[in-house]
Amino acid sequence: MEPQVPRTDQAPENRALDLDDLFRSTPRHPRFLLPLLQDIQSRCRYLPRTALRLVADHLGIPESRVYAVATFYKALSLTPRGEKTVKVCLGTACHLRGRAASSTPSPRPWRFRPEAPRKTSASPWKPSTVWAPAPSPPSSP
Amino acid sequence: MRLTDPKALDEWRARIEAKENARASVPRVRVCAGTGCLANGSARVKSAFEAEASARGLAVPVDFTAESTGCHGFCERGPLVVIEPGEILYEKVKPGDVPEIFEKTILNGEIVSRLQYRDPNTKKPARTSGEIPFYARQHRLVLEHCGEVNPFEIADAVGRGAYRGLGKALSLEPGTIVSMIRESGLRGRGGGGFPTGAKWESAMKASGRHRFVIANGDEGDPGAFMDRSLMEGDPHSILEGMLIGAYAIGARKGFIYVRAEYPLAVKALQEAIRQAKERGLLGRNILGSGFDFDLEVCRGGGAFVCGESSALMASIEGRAGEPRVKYIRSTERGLWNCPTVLNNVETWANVPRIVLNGPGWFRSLGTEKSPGTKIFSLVGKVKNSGLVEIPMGTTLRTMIEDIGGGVLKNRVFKAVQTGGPSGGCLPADALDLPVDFDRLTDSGSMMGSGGMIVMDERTCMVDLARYFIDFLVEESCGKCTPCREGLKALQRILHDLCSGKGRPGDGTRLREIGEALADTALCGLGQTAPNPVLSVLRYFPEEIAEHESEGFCRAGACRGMYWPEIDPEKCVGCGACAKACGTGAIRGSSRNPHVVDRALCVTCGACLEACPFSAIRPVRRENPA
Amino acid sequence: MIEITIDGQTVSVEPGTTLLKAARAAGIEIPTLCAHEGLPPEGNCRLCSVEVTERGKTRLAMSCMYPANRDGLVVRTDTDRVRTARRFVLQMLADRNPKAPALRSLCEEYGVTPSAPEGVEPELCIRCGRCVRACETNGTNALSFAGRGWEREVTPPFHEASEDCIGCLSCAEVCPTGRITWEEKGRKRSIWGRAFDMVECERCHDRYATLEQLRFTGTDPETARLCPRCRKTLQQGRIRLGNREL
Repeated sequence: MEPQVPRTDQAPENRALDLDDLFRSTPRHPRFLLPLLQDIQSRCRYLPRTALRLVADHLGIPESRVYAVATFYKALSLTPRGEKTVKVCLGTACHLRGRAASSTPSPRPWRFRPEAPRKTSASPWKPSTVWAPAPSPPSSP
Repeated sequence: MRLTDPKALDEWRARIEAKENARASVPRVRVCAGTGCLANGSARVKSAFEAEASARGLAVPVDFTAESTGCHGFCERGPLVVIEPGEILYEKVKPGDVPEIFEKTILNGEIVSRLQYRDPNTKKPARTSGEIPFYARQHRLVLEHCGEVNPFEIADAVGRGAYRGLGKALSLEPGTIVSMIRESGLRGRGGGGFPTGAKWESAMKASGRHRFVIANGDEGDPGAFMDRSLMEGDPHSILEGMLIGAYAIGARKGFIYVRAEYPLAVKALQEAIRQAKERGLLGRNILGSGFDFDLEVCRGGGAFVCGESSALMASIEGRAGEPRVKYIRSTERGLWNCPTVLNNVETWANVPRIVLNGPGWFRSLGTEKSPGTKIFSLVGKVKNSGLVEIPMGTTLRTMIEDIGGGVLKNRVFKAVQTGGPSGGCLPADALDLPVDFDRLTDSGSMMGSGGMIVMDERTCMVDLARYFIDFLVEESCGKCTPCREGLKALQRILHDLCSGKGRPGDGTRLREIGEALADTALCGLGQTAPNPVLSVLRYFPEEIAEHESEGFCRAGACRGMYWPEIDPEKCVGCGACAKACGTGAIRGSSRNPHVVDRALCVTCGACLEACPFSAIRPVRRENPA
Repeated sequence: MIEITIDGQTVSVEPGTTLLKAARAAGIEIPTLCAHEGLPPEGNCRLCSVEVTERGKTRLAMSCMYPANRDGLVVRTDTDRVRTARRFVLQMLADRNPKAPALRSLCEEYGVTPSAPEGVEPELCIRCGRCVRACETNGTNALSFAGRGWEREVTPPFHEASEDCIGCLSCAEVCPTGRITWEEKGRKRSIWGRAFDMVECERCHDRYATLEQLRFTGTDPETARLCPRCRKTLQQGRIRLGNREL
């Protein structure tokens, strides 16, 4: 079956953004763009748009540059990632020993709601974030 | 305690050494805490040793320390444990084994033979790591201390000689150091093989108010983990190399760019920097020399292209990691347009050793044009996979057959892939090729950062090329036309070839696109990107031709492009294939030859993999899919 | 000044001059797409390749960025290798942008026919980034590339109307393929999903700029009543008037 895309109503979108400490500890220089975005990503599991505006203001750079960086690096995501991440190694050695069977996670045995596997990562690890535990087993088509 | 001059450093080292010597006869356990071993549960093994020691407590007259060490490199066999004295090596240790190890080995010096490594061919057990061919044929120079020192304890590193090279360097003129590196013939370990000394010289001579040094630890080749092990296992060697380089070229600030997926490496480096600062080995007026230098760790953002130097610099500057056209070298205009020396972490780790032992010593290792050693990660269908360091010029055969122990399940060797996505595949004929920068490039592959993947007859070379191109399509930054559009064009053809939709002329098209792409792409990633395809065209043209016009995959890896056929002569009726088959397509009674029901077979290849007697082989289809 | 050879012609240039400029000054045409006179070169389209021989080594180089720095540099703009490289680049661009007008004549010249690969949506953007560089050069920075690889695309942040955009049309003006479109209706101009109020010249009634443009350039409202052309005419008129009075 096709993995399901997470429902946005389960996203931590509405969680209050408390990033003040990150901004306080990050010097106002454009070179801290990537580290700051990484810190926000690891706290929120994605980059909320409001945060990107604040980042641009804080570092004194145009929003377009923040957006370019946020969409370039695979460690960053503009949509919420799941609470758990399942990684399937796509390194060459694993590829040689066969990966097809395991690269599409099946949600059923885990009662999790998997996000569509993300297209890529620089690592051999192909992460497919698994969404927060579903209240009930997801209905299978 | 801040070290105010080189003498203080020497005295500190002498104190640590004296303490070490006093402890030498006392039992001691080393548990590997590299990522591979950690994944296999080495943290629990370490706690078990600690618990066991404290449970026995004072009743046992043994001064015992369980310390976490960096990577031993023999990751396949982890968790690895070494018991001193005697350097006794145990593999695949479980917490449950700890009491027995304590009882027998630590207290009574006996060997627990079931935990010993056994040669896969001779079944002979090895007592110490030195007796294992995997280690015996290596020359561990850069990895010397990996697995021996606790990367989180600077005293451990200093006790084994860390920062001796720095002490010596600070007594030399910067120009002398640059000459030493140039004379040593050291070449960039990140893959390009550019002479390090020439780089330094150019940066030293370039004008600019600020200068920078950068260590590239953005190892992104799928299947490679040399840099990770070095950063995790011996971070101080990288710091020391950078300190020397910075002193030589006049830089006061350096960055270590570490791949996002290496949290342990980031931690080890950050801690190493913190401790070095505390000791006055980083920061202002280092060892009283008047030389100031500061280091910072940058976490990568998950982009393979950031291994390319100009993309890496863009990333440090806080921009998308896109390479720039480099008609003016980064040694003149690099990070923030300032003269910058960027070297791979392994290159940096070589520097202190060269300064300490002299360029002549370094030249005595390896080959004339590629002196020194190189670390490889040997993986794939090989018995002993792991991290190996060999002198340059060692043949592929020695690496694969002696160090690697040969091909898994004693299957037939087909090819070895070196250099990751930028490299190529070399066939069995090339096994006697001495490994160095130039020979690998001449043969259509590349040193790359040192990935080495062994393949047997079950590997489809077309599928492998597709795999690497898939990877590169996703990792191309998209800035220049050839790489963005050309890789996609290669990918389309390769996908067709691997799904039975090949057309006559596909091979020619692959070659044309590949060659033009290599000639026109903007950066190193794009210029080398077609290598996996071009090397398959060069060494395995018959497989391309079979995919192209017969819809046949001789390796039995591309679905729908073969039928598995059981040879009744070879089949002993063990049923392994039938058990492996997910669709019930294999039938047969016990001890009688089995048969494949093609109506049910989905050509997943599980039976080919499962058969212990190589009795199943892929055959051509009459009407290919 | 240094002397270099382009296609057998000896050309004398200022050190650091790009090969493209040097060739054009000598009347030798090199095709370009991402290069634009008013913008910093980036060398990303890879069309302007030439063969360069320096210190005995010959390599393919992008003429829009390669600086002539050494006497005796030998440049060839029309070798087999160069033509193959250009054909390849054009083929790759044309396969994805079969209808881009800027590509059509070049494709004809180099004998390239778009092959319309299966599953590839025809587009008009060749990702030359002229628009992004124009926006950067202006200091407005409303546009950037987003994503990477095959998915790389030009867009304002979040694919939405950008507060940084001033509707100046620089991006559309430098776009070689007509990918960037805009609309003007009455006193409104819209581009990149955002509508702008136009300012009308009191003299010629030309709607010559957006309000945001004037704000961005800090033009005072008094000056802004006339369009630059009328301002100039009037100014020149006054000078002439002054002359006559003298």
